[in-house]
Amino acid sequence: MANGKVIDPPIAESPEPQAPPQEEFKRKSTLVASISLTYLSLTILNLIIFWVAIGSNQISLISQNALLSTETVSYQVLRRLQTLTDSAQNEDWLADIRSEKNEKAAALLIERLRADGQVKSAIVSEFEIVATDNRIVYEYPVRTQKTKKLDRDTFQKVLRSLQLLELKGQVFYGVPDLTNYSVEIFIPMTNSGSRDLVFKSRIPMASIQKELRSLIVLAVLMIVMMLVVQTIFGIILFRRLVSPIIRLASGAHTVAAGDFDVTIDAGKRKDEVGFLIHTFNRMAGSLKEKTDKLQNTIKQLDQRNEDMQGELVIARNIQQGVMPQVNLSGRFRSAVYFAPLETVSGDYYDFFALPDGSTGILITDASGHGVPAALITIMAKVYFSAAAAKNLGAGKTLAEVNQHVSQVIVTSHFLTAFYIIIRPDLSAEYASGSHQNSYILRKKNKKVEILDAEGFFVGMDADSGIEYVTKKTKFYPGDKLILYTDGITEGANAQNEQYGTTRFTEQIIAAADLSPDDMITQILADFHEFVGSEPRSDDCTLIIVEVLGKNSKPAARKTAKRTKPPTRGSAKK
Amino acid sequence: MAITLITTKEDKDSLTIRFTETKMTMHISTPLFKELEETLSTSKTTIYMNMEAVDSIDSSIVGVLVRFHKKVKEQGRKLIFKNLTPTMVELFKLTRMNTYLNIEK
Repeated sequence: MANGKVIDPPIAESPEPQAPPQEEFKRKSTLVASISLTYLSLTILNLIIFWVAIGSNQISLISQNALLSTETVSYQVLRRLQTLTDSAQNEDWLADIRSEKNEKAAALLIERLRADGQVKSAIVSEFEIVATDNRIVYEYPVRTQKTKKLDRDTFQKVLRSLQLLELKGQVFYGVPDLTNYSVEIFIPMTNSGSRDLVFKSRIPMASIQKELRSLIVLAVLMIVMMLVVQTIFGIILFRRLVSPIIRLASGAHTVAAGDFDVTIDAGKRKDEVGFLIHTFNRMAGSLKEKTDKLQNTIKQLDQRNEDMQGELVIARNIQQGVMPQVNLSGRFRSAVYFAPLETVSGDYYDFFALPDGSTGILITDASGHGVPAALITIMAKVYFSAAAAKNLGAGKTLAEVNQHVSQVIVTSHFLTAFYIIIRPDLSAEYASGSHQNSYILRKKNKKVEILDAEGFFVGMDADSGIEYVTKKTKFYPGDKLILYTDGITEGANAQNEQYGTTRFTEQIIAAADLSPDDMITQILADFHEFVGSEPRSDDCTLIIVEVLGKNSKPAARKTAKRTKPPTRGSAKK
Repeated sequence: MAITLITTKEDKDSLTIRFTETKMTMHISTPLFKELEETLSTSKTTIYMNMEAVDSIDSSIVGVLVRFHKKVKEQGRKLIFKNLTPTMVELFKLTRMNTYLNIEK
């Protein structure tokens, strides 16, 4: 680092504003699927109700009808059989039918049964004659392997038929068999005093089959018709309700993506859906209008911001113009770190060449930061320059500036200030206006001496009654004067811990053997390591002045390099 | 609804102002001073500034406190700071405000 140069501060990264995290909506089902499922369920429910209400009733009627028909046929068979068994001449027929050779008797029976047209058409082409000892005396058609006995359940029916006819005069028939569309009948063959034979046959229920088929056809037709009607209603429902909602959802998605130029066609609808679409269109239009206005406002603000930035750059140049244009030379070697928080700074430092050959060194810190603080520093420059030129001494210089500035500042602003005058013989006097304690780093023992003097803020109260006490000290060749503003010691890290005066003075001592330039470089490296990426919250200034020996060759006077302003928003507000 | 930076409580002879913020910086300095000014409508001659809730203030707030102190003083009244936290005690001492302002022992 060259003698007296002003070190550029690192420009902190501007933190990007982060939008609050939004939970992404994940669609897991569709309205069409939900409605279709509901609609299908309703259709199935309708079909079940239809079947329970009509189908089962119809089947019941068909069954009753079939049984009635069965009963009629059964009685006819009974009468036919009675005509065969009741006459005396047929005692022989009964004996014949019980005998082994009963083909002739059976032929007579078949002839009698076929004589009745209704019975002929009803009786299937098979029957059996069963005796009460469960012996099948005849079966038609005659089989090679004759069945000797009925099974237990069937025989129970045989006995039941005998009891029913005997006790109640009723014929017995079984439960309709809907698998084969037939029903079993059991007709006792009686003559006087003898009822030991039962005619067992099976009556086909072709009418049931036919009627059931008709019912099934009707049911299928009804189902088809119902599905057609439901489908038509479904399409109408889709067009009237679901389709507009899908279009609204698509429109809302487009709006959510930032495109407000969306209009959904509501047609001529005047119902709630039409109102919803109309309201959505108005909302999208309103959002578009507001967004356009907002974008225009942002554009204007950007333009104004650009203008203000330009003005701030001019202000910065003006402020830098009031800072020392050259650094200390002669018996001094100095380095300055000057880092405004924003474009302009509330810190101000100055070097004064006094009429008696003394050197005045000033550091001030206006309350706050930014433009208001920078304006205070410009004012301070005027009054400090005038007061320093009078060479009144350190305390009186601060007191005079306080008198003037207090009358001018009408806000809550003020300055802290530290002013030290070093005489040609290296004796010095200093005063403080509530500024941070400055230090002298003694070469002989590498110890830090605190320069603490009583005083009060400059520009706060002309009648505070607090004196700016002047204190004296002495410099020796190799001693270093360290002045700073609180932006250094109050720099905080992510844990909100401050850099602090203890660590600061430790670093000063650690860098005691270095030149002012290198000292600043080393101290700042430690400072930045401490604060890390945390943005600064205040202006920072650090000045180190080394007192050289009489015979030391002074470094060439160098023009102070100006700092670049840090990026806006690089610091806490 | 405006942000309230202070609360007030009137006793028989005095008004006590209490800060609601623990950390006060430049950005609330203007509304803070306005709220403090509004308390001067009281007829009480003694105003207490209860600092028990305040952990840190920046230089702008220091300016607000001193300016309010001057304003109270100009009206012939007395402003007394009390219940300073240790950090505030240290700050007042470093800046000599402890000799300028009235601080209750």
